[in-house]
Amino acid sequence: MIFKTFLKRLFPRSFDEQIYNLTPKELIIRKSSNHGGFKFGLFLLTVIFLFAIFGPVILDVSPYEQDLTKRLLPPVWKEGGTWEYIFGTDGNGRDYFARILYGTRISLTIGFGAACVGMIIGVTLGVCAGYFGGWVDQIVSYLLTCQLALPGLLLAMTIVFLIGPSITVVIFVIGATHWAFFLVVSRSATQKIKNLDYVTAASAIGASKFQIIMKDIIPNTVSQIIVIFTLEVGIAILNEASLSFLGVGIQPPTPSWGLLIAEGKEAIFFQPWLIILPGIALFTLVVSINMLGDGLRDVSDPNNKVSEE
Amino acid sequence: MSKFLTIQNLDISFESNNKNLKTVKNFNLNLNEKESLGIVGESGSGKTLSMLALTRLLPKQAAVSASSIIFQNKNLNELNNKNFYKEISGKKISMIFQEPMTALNPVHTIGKQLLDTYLYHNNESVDKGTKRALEILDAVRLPKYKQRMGQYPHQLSGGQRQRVMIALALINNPSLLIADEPTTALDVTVQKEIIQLISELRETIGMALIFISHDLGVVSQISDNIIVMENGEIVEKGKTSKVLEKPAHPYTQGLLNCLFKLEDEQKKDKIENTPIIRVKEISKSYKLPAKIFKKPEIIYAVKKVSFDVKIGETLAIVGESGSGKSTIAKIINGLINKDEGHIEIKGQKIDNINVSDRAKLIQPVFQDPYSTLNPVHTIGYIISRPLMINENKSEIEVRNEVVKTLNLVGLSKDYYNRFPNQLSGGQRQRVAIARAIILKPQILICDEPTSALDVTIQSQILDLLSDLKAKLKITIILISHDISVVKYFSDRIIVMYNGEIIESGNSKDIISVPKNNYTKKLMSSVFSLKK
Repeated sequence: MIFKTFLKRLFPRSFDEQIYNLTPKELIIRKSSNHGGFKFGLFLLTVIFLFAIFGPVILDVSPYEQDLTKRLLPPVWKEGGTWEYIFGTDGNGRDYFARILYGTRISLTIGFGAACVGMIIGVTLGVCAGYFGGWVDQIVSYLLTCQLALPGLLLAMTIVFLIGPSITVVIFVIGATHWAFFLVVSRSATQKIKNLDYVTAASAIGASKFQIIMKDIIPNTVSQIIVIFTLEVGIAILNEASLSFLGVGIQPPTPSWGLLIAEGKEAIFFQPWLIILPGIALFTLVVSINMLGDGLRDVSDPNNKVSEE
Repeated sequence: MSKFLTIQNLDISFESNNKNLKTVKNFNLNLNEKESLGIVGESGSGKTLSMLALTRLLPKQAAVSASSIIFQNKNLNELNNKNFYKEISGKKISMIFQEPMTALNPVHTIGKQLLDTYLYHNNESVDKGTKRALEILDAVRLPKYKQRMGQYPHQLSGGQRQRVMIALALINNPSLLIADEPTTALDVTVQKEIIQLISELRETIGMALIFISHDLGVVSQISDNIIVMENGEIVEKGKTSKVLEKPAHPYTQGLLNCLFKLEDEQKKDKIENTPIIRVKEISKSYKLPAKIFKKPEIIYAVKKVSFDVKIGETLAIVGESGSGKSTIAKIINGLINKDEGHIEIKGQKIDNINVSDRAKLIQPVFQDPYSTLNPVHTIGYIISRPLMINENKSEIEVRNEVVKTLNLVGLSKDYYNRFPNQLSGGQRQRVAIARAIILKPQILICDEPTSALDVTIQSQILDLLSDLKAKLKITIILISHDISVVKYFSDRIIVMYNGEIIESGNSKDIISVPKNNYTKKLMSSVFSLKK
């Protein structure tokens, strides 16, 4: 009791009896600090990001340097492993830890990049189709049908094959084949929102169509789009892995997780860590992103009061 | 004689985030056989919850405890759920819900739904069930009841669906019927028929009735005894006539005052005779999508309507849903385009007024307090937005203006940073009004501004509107189906039916001496307190 009053004196704002007096920013901070999944996902993703950015800088390891005398060394916890190569080495005698570390950068870039490309395409089309309706809606729906009818991986493979693989191309190709979810969700949300009174009120106060879309419609779809976004980040990372696995994604010797798995598949029975380690990395990243996404949805939605108190 | 139904010390609480929310406290009820009891209270007072507890329809999170619930000498506390649903619910105790649109299953025919309900509780043949279903449809006076068995709910109107709901509730001859706001979602004219039907059926079948409503007028017509609830507690109970004549509790007195105030007339200011809006022969129609071998059908929402609105007056447009009154409001507001005719505002044709000028001339206030404010923006932003769009003002000026407007509608500046979901319905409607008046418009179009609110809040909002009208000299167009609100508030009335004006004139004249048949029906459907 005494402790609490002491805290109250120290932080009068955060212990205010009425949560209503908080500004929007303070409210979001308070909500997010009470959301377990959000905190865990954020923590994990931050750790992965820090690793990706600073790992290669601080640790003096190279993912490309070959030492053919030290091929297929097991990781340190296995018999015969050394601390010099924590995760062992691959078939060409390259440091596997360094390769996974550098692979994190590539996976994160491609995951977020491709999801952003997909989001921009999907949300733009979806909001336009939902808000304007009529022939705009029909054209967009036709585009969607075409997109859904094409086998995504095959299409991506063909395009990458024709243009030539590079990280930018892979990002745009994956993004351009993954906007269907964004479109469907934002379209139906827009159709619902555009008939609500606050949109009518906005046009009565003289707001233009562009202002209505930017200020009234999109902010209200954000909580749904965030969920799709995190889902798509995960899918894009996995998609990159499949493309690289099939040989049309990232080209060797660049260390991408998918490529590592592809290269390790020959040794699956004798050196399973070559597949398991990048697999675990992939799993951890996708899980952390999904948890963060769920948390962000709860936190950003002002109608969600659950984690407020 | 033993009591028919007794409930003692009923408590309902909801557990949320380690907080125990008591929504109903110490609820006691005694009901005799064939008695009719009314439960009155505002939304959130626990009147529906306590009845849902009796029928075991509460969500799982709710913790219900009662020292005893005895129904026809049977202790319901001792009955497990399975036996309760088999023996009591739907058979001895039936319930009618508020929303006839969602209470019926849209994928099954009326006949199947009736039959299922009957066969679940009675071990009879389908033939006998069908016979009984037809019998009960006839009893609730569903027109053409023989053909209705094969129809789906969407083929019926709201009033007809509510009749089917009543039929569903009565098919097993229950001894207690619980009606939870059965008429709130219906038009006033239909409302009266349903109320009459329920009270007649109660007498012929000889069942007890618990009637839940927020409308004291309706309850006073139908019930012998009355319970008034506030914040989960019973504040007053007794014979209806006694309670209404000499309300003991201040809350009941407040409720009654609000009603009486609405029945009185307001002092009215003098009105200048120059029209501010002239509406000439406007029409609006919708085309139904064409089918093969069929010409596209055209439905008129508004058909050649003309009227004037004078500076400083309050014009009420009255009619049931679908009569085209909201369409007119939207056309005047420039929110939808008309097909024919023209509208002049202050001598200018509405098509020639640009968006920004129009916004400074006319502003709307909508019905639903929950969808009228964008949930992602703060109150401060919502109210300041008209200024930011239409006027070049510094941030501090805008802020000051918003705080001033907040004070004008009776809210303190603490509300600036709140989100709409932190406000009650009445407060939201105040914010919506603040947003509408911040540009100092000359005309306010209020589309059912109070119909989604509780009675006490309703009169507060109406007071606020008339206050603002005097202070800011606004002309108000009020759209409503509620005659008592119109009577209290308006100078002139236009009555609409099927997109056309069927009667117009001074509000006093129309209310006291309606000429048109439909207007007569509309005026007589108002429930005044019966003493």
